[in-house]
Amino acid sequence: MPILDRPVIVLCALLYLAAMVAVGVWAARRTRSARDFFIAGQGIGLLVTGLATMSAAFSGFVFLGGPGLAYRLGVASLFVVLSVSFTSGLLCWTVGKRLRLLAEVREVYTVPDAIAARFRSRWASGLAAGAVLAGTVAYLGAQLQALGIVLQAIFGEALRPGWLPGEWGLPLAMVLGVALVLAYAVAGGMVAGVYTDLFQGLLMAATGVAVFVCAVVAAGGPGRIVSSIAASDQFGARFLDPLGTVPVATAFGFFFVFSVGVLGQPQMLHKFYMLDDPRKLKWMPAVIAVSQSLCVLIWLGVGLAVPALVAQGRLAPLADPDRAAPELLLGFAPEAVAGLAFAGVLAAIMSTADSLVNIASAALVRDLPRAFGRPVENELRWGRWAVAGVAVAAALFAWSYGDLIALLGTFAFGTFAAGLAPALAVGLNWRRVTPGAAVASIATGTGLNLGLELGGRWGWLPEGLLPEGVLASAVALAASFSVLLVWSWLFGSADGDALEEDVAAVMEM
Amino acid sequence: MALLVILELSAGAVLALSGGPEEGMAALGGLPWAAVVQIVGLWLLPLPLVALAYALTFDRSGIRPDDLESLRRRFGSQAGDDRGES
Repeated sequence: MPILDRPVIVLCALLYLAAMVAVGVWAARRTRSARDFFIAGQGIGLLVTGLATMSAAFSGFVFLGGPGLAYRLGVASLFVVLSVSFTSGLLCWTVGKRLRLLAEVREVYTVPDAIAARFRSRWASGLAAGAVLAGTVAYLGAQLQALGIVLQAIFGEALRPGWLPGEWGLPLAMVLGVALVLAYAVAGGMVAGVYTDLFQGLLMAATGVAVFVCAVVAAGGPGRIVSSIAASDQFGARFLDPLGTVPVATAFGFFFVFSVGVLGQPQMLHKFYMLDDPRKLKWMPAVIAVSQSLCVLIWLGVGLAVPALVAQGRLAPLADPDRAAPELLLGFAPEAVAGLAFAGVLAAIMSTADSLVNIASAALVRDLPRAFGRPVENELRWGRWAVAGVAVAAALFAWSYGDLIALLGTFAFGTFAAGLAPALAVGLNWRRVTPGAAVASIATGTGLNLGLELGGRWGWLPEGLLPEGVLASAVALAASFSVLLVWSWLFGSADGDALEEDVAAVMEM
Repeated sequence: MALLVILELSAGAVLALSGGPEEGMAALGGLPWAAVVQIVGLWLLPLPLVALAYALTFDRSGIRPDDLESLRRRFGSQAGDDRGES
């Protein structure tokens, strides 16, 4: 259906984009220092920090990639996302509290800053910055791919000039997405991100609920959805079985990576520095878990309703599963709900993209130069330039990866997880962890994840290197934890003699 | 500990219930038992348990006001100095 026949959807999208640009310009005037740019001046309350953490974590991955993965894998795909029920508690308990307390005693803006403070090792902080950069390029690539699909769905052929072949529609939309993200993030940095995150988080949660209800109603209710899927040749009863479409190793690999790996996600961890009072962490898990669970409804609702609609013959089978959510919204949702939902999806993508480019620019102009002993003089100015390079690299990477948003997102999530989770979660709680253990763990996790995933995908590794269904990210994460624990046990001292007094005090609390 | 027990029991139940004969497996709204256990045991049940347990134990094992005040008194000025604050 030509999108211009659905003016409310276009209007909602345009209003949302205009509001975001306005906030970016407004925030640019309030961004006066690197501290403002990177951690929003450390003056943000519980609700905004909680929703900012949620909206940084949930993105095009959940809103478009989730339904896409569900269309391909069925109920098994939920292993990726159901752990949101407890991951926020785990995060606050093991890492969030320590990071926020560290910000009381040190000038820490980034995850590599925390690694540097804990281990007093340039190698550890430099490798952490490298892991952050690698994961960010992949994660931002997933956001740009999602943004391209949404912009295509909203504006359709109106985006593509007539002389350009049809297959260039998505790349062109991604280029437009890069421009949007840059306009938004370069200007305002984290101030822009955080001040819009309250609005974006609420919009995302509302979208999750509205689209879930709409999807279930459109497909005839829960009973009909299940019976349609179970009776269809294309999907069948196995689609509804948690282990029906994937090996056990894949299903529980997803669960392991996404439940433990949350401890190494810089786009979430970064937010803990911004909280104005550490005692407000008390209700942080509740805010994050409830808001994330509302967003998960879109994965569940669209992920089951679209296959049901296909099974009922009311929707053509999808050539590209990532278009499940746009197809449902454009074909079956009331225009107002579709408009809200597209704005919500844009909010999910933009808020995460903003956090990611901010983190990547910090890694490039702050963490890596400091690790090499050559700090940059004007981090704010160079940070804005770095954003542009990272966004272009991310778009090119997503284009070359060429798979579902959720699979690209899983790879990115796994890169952060395997590289950073052990050094942070164990390192900030166990004095015996040595700088050498942190370096070995970060190098092992990052190297294994990149090598196994990209080597396997691009044919550089022998076939059958990993048993069928085993996720590269799960192997890398397990190896990273093992290296850290064994190294610390063998070479660490119980009193953690490398610790400085203030860091030791933070770890004792 | 309670969370681990719930997660392990749920994962075990999903393993045990998955892949059986299709007839007689339907539970809630026709969804197989394995899927119901997956959704309830890994998502709906841990959510309030973890959020409430964290909040209710925060004053005891999270960040105590006295400890925070003491940390700020001993080291707080360092962070301010780093940022160029007076």
